[in-house]
Amino acid sequence: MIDVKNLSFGYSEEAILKRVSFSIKDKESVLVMGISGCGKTTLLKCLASIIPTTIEGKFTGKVLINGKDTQKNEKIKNDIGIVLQDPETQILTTKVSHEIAFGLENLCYDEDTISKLVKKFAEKFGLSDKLNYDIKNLSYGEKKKVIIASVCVMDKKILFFDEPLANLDIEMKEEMLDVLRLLKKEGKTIIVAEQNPCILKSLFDKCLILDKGRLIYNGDVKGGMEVMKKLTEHKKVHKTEPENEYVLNVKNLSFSYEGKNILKNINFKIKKNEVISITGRNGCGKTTLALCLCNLLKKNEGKIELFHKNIDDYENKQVAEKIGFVFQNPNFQIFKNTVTDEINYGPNNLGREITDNQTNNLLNDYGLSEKKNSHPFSLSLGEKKRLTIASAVSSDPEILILDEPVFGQDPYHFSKILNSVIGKKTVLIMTHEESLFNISNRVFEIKNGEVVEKKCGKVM
Amino acid sequence: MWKSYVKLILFIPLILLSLVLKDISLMIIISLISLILTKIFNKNFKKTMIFLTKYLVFTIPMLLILWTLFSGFDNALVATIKFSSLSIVSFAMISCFQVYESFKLLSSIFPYKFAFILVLCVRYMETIKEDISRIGLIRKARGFEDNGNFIKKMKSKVELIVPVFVDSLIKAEDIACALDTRSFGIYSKRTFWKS
Repeated sequence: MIDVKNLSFGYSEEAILKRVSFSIKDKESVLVMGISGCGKTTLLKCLASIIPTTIEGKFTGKVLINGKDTQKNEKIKNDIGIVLQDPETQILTTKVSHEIAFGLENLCYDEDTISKLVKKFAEKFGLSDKLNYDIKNLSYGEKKKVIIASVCVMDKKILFFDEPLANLDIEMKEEMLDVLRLLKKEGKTIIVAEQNPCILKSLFDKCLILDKGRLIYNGDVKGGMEVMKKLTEHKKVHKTEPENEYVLNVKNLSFSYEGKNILKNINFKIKKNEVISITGRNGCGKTTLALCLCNLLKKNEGKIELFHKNIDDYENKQVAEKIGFVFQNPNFQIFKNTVTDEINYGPNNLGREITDNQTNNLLNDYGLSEKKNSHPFSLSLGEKKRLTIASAVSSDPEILILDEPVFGQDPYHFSKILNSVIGKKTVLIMTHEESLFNISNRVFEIKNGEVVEKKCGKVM
Repeated sequence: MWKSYVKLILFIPLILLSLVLKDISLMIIISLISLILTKIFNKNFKKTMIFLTKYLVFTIPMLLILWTLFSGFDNALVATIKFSSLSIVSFAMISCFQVYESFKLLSSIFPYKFAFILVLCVRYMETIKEDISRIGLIRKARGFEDNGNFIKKMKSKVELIVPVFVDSLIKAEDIACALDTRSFGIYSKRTFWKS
């Protein structure tokens, strides 16, 4: 039983959670929803008593688990497991078996028990044949599974998952759902925070919806879906027809890294103002392809023609003028101290003038005008992602490459961004998100290093 | 476990010798011995060697030049060979221990919480290295060009450090969370599992 009474929390003066109260029964599975930046992750961390004991901030109110205050009882932590979004940062060792055993070692289990438990749980999560693997060599989804296994092995009664399905490809999503189903069957209390919960619906008894730190819904999942629909209501993104002129022509592109062939013999042509989605399993080389297209990674073989001219004949700056690139991790693309400076960074590098008026318009379009003078690192994940797109658009490139743009982004702003870009620029989107296939003119899939064109109708 | 003790017993005298000895030819022999040991114990010998060569190619000329300026070429040569053989031996030793193995070994000497911090540093070094090169690429995509005089170049390197630093801080919060949820540090002792 989890009881939350008047919980408020903020890292600084600004509160992220505002007077949240609810209760969760034992063995209940609960879905926490809300658009990006609404405080889902913070709520989970508060419930899992990571806040305020490990991470400090302004904490008021109470979280009671089985009637005990989490702030006063450190031992409660032994019953609580939390799995965060990014598996990369939660890996503490190098081998799969060591990772699963890590928690048990901390609990001072003896060797035989650990061996037994590791074996049992590896089997349960379908990792038995990978026990001796280096975690580095696993795919993104498998890493996530290892983390979940290593938390579950400690026999926790309450499990928190932060966006367990984010960034996973379709097959991996199914496997992850099986894992969640299994845990529910075993009678664990499961609390999941998720942004796109469509395929998760059947799994949950209850649903909580947060909006700007306030709890606005607490009830069954069906009603919650409707509330979410209203929250995420957005303008439709319209598909446009491309012009009959090729801007990018890739011929026999190959790329290998440390002896591994990542991309093999890739051929495609892209028309002006076309929207293209490029999909494929985690780690199949989507980002590598994007980097090759910008000439940031040097290809081994083949030719890329950008506006009918070989890309090797361009200088780095000229390519940057033509192609805008937005990477997945927004923290890596922030170099200046204020939002405005960040937007002006690209044009300044290229020696272009950008007027205050233009900057303000851009900030308005991307919903950042209130944060104009804030430090980019103080923004929420969704805002940071919008800022990175804005700062790529500010230097007015003709081709825009977006790497996993949906993740952490709320639909309202994202559809607005897409509407402002589609039809005016050639857009390449590297993504798992099937909803984006609808607005794309063509969908490419990278399979075993080769590019195959997918039929859009078939996908939906 | 005995294997890691063997490694320690083999390497520690080498390190001590390279600290104490004054004879250049013996120093060179010691570094060669440590390389042979690396070849035996380390599976990724080639990768380690590439990294080591890169490191030495940078440090040896720097040391030589700087030392010559202060105390003449002969002294500089001795000092450089001494320094590089010491770094070869210690580098060879580090490369022969796997992360988990060194955690086990270190925690038999230090409190395990402290040992884990050291191990975690090594584990994240590689991640940070990758991050830096990624950020460099991203900056290039924004039209940045790395030219100009020495000071300008150094300044532009500083610009790279800020995102890495902030991202690492954000990651540190996640690591803390992951450690917490696996009950790290709730007891003053922990067991180690032989796989």
